Amino acid sequence: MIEVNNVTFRYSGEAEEGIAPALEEVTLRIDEGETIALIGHNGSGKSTLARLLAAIVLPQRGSVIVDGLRTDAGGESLWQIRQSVGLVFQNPDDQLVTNTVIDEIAFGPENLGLPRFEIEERVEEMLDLLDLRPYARHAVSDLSQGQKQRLAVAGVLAMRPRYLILDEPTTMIPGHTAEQLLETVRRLARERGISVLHITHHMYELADFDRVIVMNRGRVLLDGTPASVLRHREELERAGLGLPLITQLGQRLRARGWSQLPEVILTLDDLKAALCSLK
Amino acid sequence: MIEISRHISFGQYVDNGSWLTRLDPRAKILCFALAVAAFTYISQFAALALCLFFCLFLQWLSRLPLRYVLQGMRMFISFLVVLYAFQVLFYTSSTQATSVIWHWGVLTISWEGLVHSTQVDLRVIFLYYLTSLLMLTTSLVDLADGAEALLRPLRRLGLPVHELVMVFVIALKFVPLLITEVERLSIAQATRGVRFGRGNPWQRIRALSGIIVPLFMSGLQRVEMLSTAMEARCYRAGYRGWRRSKLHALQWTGADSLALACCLLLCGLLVALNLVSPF
Repeated sequence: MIEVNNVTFRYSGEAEEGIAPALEEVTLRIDEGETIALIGHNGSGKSTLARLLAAIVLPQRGSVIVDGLRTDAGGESLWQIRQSVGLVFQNPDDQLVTNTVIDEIAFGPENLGLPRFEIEERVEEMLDLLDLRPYARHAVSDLSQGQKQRLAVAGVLAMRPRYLILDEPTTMIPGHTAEQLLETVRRLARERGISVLHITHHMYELADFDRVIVMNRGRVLLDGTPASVLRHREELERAGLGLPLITQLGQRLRARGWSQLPEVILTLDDLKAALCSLK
Repeated sequence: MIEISRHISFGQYVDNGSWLTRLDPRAKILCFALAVAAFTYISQFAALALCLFFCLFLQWLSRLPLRYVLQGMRMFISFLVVLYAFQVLFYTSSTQATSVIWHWGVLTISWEGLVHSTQVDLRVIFLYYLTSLLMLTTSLVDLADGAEALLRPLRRLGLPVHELVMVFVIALKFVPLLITEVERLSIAQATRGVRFGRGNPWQRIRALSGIIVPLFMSGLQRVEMLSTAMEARCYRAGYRGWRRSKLHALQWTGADSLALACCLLLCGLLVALNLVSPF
C-alpha cells in the first residue's frame, strides 16, 4: 500500500518567484492490485506526484509511505522503494539507457545485482509478455515509438515492481498502439497483482480503470470510480477537462428524451447495451 | 540538412552476428587503440595503402553493407573536403622548399601542400572509419563492460572508472538521438521559412542558431530525464557497496587472441613500412 499523507511539494526557486506549490496538501492511498487513472490539466501536479511516489523527489511537508517505508528515510529503504515502484516516462527516448533490446530489459535487474540466470529468465519473460521477441536482437534506434514504449515498460517490469506508474506513456504513440499497450499493462496488473497508476490527459482512457483521481492546481479535485467522477461535469470543466465524447453523447440523448439511459456512459459497448435494453 | 540521419551511421549498432560483432569487447578496444596509435603515427602513402587494405578486410569481416557504411560517412567526408581546401590553400612549409603551382594573394597551392593535406585527411578518414566500425559492431553495454574491465587497475588510484565509462557511453548513446533532434529542428525551422545555406555568412550563422540553441536546451533536458530514469531503475553510481551484476559475461577466446596478434603484427608492419618507404 502507498500512503500519501498531507504532502506539499514545491520546486526549488518557485517560492521566490511567487509560484504556487506543484502539490499542496495531497492525501491519498493506493491499495495493492488497484488500477488508477490520474488525470489533470498540464501543470496540475500529476507528474510531480508520480516522482514523489517513486522517491525521485521528496516531500517538503507530509510523507509518502510505500509498504511501510518512508521515501524520505534515506539509506537502503530508498532503493527498496525504487524497486517496488516502477516509473515509465512519456518519451521512451528519454529513458532507454542502452542500445539493444535485451540489454535494455536487463539494465534494471543488473542494477539490482541479480545472478545472471535470473536476469536471463526475466529478459526472456519480458520479451514474451510485451511481444518483443521478434525484436530481441534489434537496436533500440530501429524500433518504432510504440515498440520503444513497450520496451520501456518491459525494462521497468523486469524489476518486478509492486506498483507501476505510467507517466503519460500514450502521448507519443498512435491510438491503437496506445490501446494495446494499456490493455497489456492492465492484463499484467490483474495477473500479477501489480497496482497501476496511469497518468493521462485523455478522458476516454478512464473507463477501464478501477479508480480515477482528478488533479487540479496541485490538489486532488475528485477521487472515485470512473462513473462517479464523470458525474461532476462542471467541476471537470472548471479544471479544463471535458467529458469523453461517448459520455457527452449519452447525456445529449438523455436531454432529448432518452431519460432511461444511465447518467454516465463510459464506453461504446455500454451505450450499445443501454440502447438495446430500451423498450 | 533535413535528412541527416540517413547520412550519419556513427553511434548505431548492428547486431548481424558477424565475427567482429562476436569478438570480446576488450579485444576490440585494445585492437582499436593499437590501430589508432599506428594510423596516427604513419604518414607515407605506402603505409596508408596498407591501412586501406586493412579497412577493406575489416569491412569484409563485419558483413555490413559497404553502401550503408559509406553513406554514414558521407556528411563527414563532405566536411573534410571543405577542410582539405583550406589546408591546401593556407599550407605553409617549414622547409621553405615549396613547389608552387598557383599563387594569388595569401592563397597558395603547392605540391607539398597537396601531398601533406591528402596524407592527413586520409588518416582522419581511416580513423573515423575505425571508430564507426567499433560502434557498429559493439553494443553500448559491451563497450562499457570492456572499457571498464580494461581500466579497472585505475580504480586503485581512486578514479571512479565505472562512472567515467558510463558518462562516455551515454554521450555516445546521445549521438543518434541528437542527430534525429537536429533533423526535427531543421524541418521545424524550414517550415517557418528559414533557409539554411543561403545568404551571407552572418545570415547563415543566424539560421543555424535556430537549431543550435534549442538543440542545446533539449540535450540538457534529455540528460536530466535520463539520469532520473536511471535512478528510478536503481542505478546508484557512487554509492558505496553497490555492485551491478552483468547479463553478458566477458569471455576471452582464441579468436580474441588471434585478433590482437594480427592487429599487433599489422601495426608493426605499418610502422616499419612507414620508416622504409620512400613515398
